[in-house]
Amino acid sequence: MSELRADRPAERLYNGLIKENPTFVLMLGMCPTLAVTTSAVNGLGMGLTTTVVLMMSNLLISMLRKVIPNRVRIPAFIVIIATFVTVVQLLLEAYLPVLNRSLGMYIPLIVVNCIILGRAESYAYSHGMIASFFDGLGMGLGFSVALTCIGVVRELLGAGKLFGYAVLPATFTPISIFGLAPGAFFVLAGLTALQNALRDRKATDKNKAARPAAGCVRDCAACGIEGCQAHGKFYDMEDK
Amino acid sequence: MQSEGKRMLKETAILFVITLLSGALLGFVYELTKEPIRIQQEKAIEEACLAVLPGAQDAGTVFHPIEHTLTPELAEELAANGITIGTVYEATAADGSLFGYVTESTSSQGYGGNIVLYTGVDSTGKVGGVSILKINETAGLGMEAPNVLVPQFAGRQVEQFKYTKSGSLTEDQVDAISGATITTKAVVNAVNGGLRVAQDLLQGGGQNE
Repeated sequence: MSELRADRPAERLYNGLIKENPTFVLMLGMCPTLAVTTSAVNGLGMGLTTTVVLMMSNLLISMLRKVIPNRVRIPAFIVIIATFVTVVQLLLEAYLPVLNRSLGMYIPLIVVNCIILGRAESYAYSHGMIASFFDGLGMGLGFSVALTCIGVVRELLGAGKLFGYAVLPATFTPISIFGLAPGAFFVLAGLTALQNALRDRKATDKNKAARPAAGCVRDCAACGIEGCQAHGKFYDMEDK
Repeated sequence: MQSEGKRMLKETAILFVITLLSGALLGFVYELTKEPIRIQQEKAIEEACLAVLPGAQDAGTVFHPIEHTLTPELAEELAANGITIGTVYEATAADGSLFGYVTESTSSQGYGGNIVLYTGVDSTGKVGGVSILKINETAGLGMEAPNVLVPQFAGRQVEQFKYTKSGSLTEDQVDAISGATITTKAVVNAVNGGLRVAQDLLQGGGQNE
């Protein structure tokens, strides 16, 4: 992706949506991912709600990054995130009560969604406001797309519907396990495998140097991941 | 070089200011959304009330909560089935006549937590309908209650409902959801609780208002 310059809005969006998709690549925020995706609408609603919180918290934390002392940054992040989540919850309750009811308990739990704290800590606290805002937007959209995909598959197989409309013929018997927790795991695993196969063909091609898909800290000196040094080639060297 | 004490004080002050500003923002948004939230909640209650009393909308019915104390025997009977009675609404038609009662009842004996529902009973003692407000049963089984159980109550005039697994034959029998007997029992008991309270009120029993 040499045409995208690092920390530009477009690069941040690409990073959040595809390269470091929070759900399928980083595997963050699994609890809401598995719990609310019983239908496509719920997945989309949760994703967009999280996106709003992520954008706002990233923007504010980036704005305050020179003010917030290093030693109290985590409590400061949590206070900021919790404030935004509560604001969003009050607004949903007042103007979108239907969505509020279907997401229920999972809205207050956005506070502890590790995507949000993770982006604050690893990106917004050390980058500029515009880049951080788009990082939040990209990550949020990546989360929304992932949750909607899982929701679509689960709703289709578990209830024979799509966004609440019956699309499969009445002869189709819904496989109710897809609406339950185990079905969430099946679908998540299937979609993760699918995106791995499509995105990084090297992962399944034995002739090419195996790139660690996740967990790479881009610091080969301190890296214990197999397959990196075994090929006599450093990942961070190859990248430059 | 700052001393450790000063540094700590500065950090505390910054965190305090952030918390203070967050609190102020929350207070502001709370005030802003207070009225819309109240309206939404009232609307939700009114919609649920109208849904369980067919014809109430045409009669221009208004609902208002009433004070209602259960007789000790009834309270004991309901408690034995895990039923608690919430708000009772009296429905008054536009011409001032009594249209019926809507009772909120909660069963603690669902398979996945409390089931909260509204039971509407018109002034003749006939069940207008049932509307489930909160339910968290097993998807595909107990969660079918709004589709399978709820339509069966509407329009029936009975003392109390019973559920059956072998096809309902009489007016007071309700077909159970196969594979979800616990849910069926909880829902039927909650409806019966609401029905009891309404019967009590219609007969002038209890300590009304």
